[in-house]
Amino acid sequence: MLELFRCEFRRYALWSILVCVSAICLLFFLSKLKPLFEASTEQSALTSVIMFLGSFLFGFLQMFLHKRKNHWTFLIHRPLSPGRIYLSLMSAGAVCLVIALFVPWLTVTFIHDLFTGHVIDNRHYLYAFFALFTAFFAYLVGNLTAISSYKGSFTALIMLYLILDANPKTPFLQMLPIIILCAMFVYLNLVSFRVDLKKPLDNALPIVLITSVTSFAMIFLLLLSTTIFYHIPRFIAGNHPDNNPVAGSYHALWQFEQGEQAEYVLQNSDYGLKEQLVDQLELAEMEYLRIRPWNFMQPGQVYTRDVQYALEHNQTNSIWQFSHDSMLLEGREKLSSEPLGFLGKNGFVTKAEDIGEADRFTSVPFLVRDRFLVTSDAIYELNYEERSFLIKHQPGAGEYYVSGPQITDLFVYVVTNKQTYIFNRSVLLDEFQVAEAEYVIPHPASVYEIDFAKAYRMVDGYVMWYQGRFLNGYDQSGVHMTYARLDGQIEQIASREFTQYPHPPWIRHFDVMISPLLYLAQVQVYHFLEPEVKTSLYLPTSQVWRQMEKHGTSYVAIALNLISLFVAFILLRRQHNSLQVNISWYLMIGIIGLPALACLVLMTPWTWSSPLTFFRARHA
Amino acid sequence: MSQFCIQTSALTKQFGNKLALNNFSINLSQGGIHAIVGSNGAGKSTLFRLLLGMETPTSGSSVILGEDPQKMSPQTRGLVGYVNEEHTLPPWMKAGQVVQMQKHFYPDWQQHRYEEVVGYFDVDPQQKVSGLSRGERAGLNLAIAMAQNPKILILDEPTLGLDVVSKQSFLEALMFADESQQVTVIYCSHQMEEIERVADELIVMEQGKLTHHSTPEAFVDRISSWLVDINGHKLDADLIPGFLVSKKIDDQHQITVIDHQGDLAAMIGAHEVQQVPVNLEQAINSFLSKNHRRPAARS
Repeated sequence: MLELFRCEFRRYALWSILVCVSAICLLFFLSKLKPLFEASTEQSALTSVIMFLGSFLFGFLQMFLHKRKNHWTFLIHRPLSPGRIYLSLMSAGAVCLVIALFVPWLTVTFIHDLFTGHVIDNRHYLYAFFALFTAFFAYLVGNLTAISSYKGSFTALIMLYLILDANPKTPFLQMLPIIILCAMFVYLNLVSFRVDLKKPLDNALPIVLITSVTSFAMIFLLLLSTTIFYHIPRFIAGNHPDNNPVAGSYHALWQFEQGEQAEYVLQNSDYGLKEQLVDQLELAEMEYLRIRPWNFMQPGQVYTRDVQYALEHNQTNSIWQFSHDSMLLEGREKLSSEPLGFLGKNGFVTKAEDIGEADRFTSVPFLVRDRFLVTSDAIYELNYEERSFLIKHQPGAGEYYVSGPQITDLFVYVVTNKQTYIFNRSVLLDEFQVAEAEYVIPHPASVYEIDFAKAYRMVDGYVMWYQGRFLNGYDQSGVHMTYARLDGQIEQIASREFTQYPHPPWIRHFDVMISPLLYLAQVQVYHFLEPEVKTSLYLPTSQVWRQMEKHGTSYVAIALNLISLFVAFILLRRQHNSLQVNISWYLMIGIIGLPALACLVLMTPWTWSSPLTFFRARHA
Repeated sequence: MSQFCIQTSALTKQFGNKLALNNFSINLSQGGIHAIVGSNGAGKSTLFRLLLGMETPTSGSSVILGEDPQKMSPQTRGLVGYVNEEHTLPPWMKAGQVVQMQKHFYPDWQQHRYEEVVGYFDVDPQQKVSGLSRGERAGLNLAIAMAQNPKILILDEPTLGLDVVSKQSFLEALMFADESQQVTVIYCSHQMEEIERVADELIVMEQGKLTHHSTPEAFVDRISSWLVDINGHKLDADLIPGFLVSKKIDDQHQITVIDHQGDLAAMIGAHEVQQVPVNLEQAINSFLSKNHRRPAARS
């Protein structure tokens, strides 16, 4: 086994070393241009795509080269079990990935840690491991795509998107899913790597695993399919709702000007001064507000998820960078990198030995305008010259900021989970003192259900316009208008639910229809985990199902599941599978529905020789 | 263990609509060189792949060294050597490194045998496999396969593309090994002079079927060739039982038949009939060409 590992490693060693050296040179070159660990979203995304694609192609190519007829015989025909042969090849591939990806990151991180003043936390080292595991997963998917008869294996790469998109609360949770996925795919590759590669999988576990993973990709593909069979034909026919707004629908709002939109929403309102209000709103200055919560940075998160790098103060020539290890900002002189002390929750601290536990932040602050620190429970302001620190604003009990301050020309908006605070810009930004909000306007619905808000500045206050596709529940879009007056009076002036829909229910509910149990199970899990959060993704099953029943799509969903099972029955009876395999398929299709059927189709050996033999029996 | 090292029973393999192997049943006794001949697409390589467990049969069964190839244990796999026409070896490695690697997998590695066989070829152990000539690669491959001390050695067109000298060395090495080792060699080749030289048993395959299995001499004895003069008349092949092929030479026809019985002259009305000697190559060529000429009539 070791000999085979050596043989395989020799094949790629030179390439790995070349990639390693090039990557180290490139990373040092980039670090001369700007701080290396100040990664923009684009830079991180590009790095990830190159890394994943490279690893996937490497994994695919490695196995593809072995899979060629006579090469396969040379490889597999030896007194060693296929599993051990695969482990040898995979280990060689993994070592190559370590050399090409892990070593450069680790080297550069280590050198930065030792020889620069940049804050290097454990999470920076963690990234090297995280990158290695994600790349290793892509490599394993590449392996499986080459050796497996399952033509849709490559779609498992979608899991990388889900993993990168997640916002885990701890480094452990950051690493756990990718480690589990890697273990899962090592197993799948081991069972797929057999002397006769064309032999289909013959036991339940690999089928369940591969179907569970690739069903996510199938859901995306099926959702995309609506473009082919619904949207494009309607665009061609010239009657697509995007070009022909349906009167009375939520989507029709977009065709109106500012005043007309207000008139449309106020139609059924009993507000007394509707006409005047419409005229005023038409002329009023309006600003868009983000209401949906941010994903605040998590302590110890991989650095590529950072949205900010450091506070920079040009007058004092200092940089203050947040350390996730110490949960403090660590200051240094810009040019000399001389340490300037620490900044904690209670202010500046010069010496490390003076830091107490109470000084440390409990969450990662968001940095605003090089002077403000925002955590979910306070906005802090810094005065570099006097080295003083102030709590600028704190929300009320049970409240937390869902995003950072939104600063406009005259006002600053701060949104919590319960209400919107509107500050005079000069009070918040220009004066080093506790800030009082001019307006405090409660949200009409959960922040998760409001897509966005608009703030209309009126002579005597604000009209807040909240709109959301799920403002009133699943598939129940609406707009809500609130008048906040200078004297503190808050008046609900309109609330409209849209009962006309531009698209038929089977398009609107398509994601639920194609996999009702998976969707509803997922909703249940979210609802169980976070019962206080109500959003389109976290709605109770009963609400989703009720709305589907109302539009008749629940029956279509059930029928679709039954049809999927029937098609599976037709396909499987032509395959000479074991009972265990067939039961696994029926179970998976029963639970997941259409996406699992798509997996079955992709896993079924077929021939193009004739449509009648498309799904041919494995044994004649 | 059975006296047969390889047994197949109604072995069938279908690829889509193509029947690559059709009810193929054979028992191969241990020892000796068993030559398999057949035209391209006759199913020889498919048979080897089935015997090595690389393909799953559509129906039928096979046994190699007492085991089902589909469930062959690594130990048994180690007793079956295989050399293909491409002489696939890792091109990025040096010849010596390949040998060192292979050595570790085979506890019964015969270094002296390796050296004896490789001695027929001028292989530099420091040379990368990619830098070896085709002949050197073939020799290295054969030497490795034989040093593994296999009980069965499958050679799938091993001399394809080799020059005369390399081919000569290869055959000498093979025959030498056959003398010194109790190995059953399954030798597949299109080179009839090689078959004639090395084969103890001859297996002929056509369109996935076994059509002949005997010693080469017995096969040649079945084939007879005649020069006939039929006075310019048209030759009616249907009148000749066992007709394989005819060739017109000047005013005469050379007719080759299998299992000839009766008076050929009387059958076709020839006034002059003369038997000509047939060698193995001619016999096999005539035998295999019958289906190419008249597939419907002879099937």
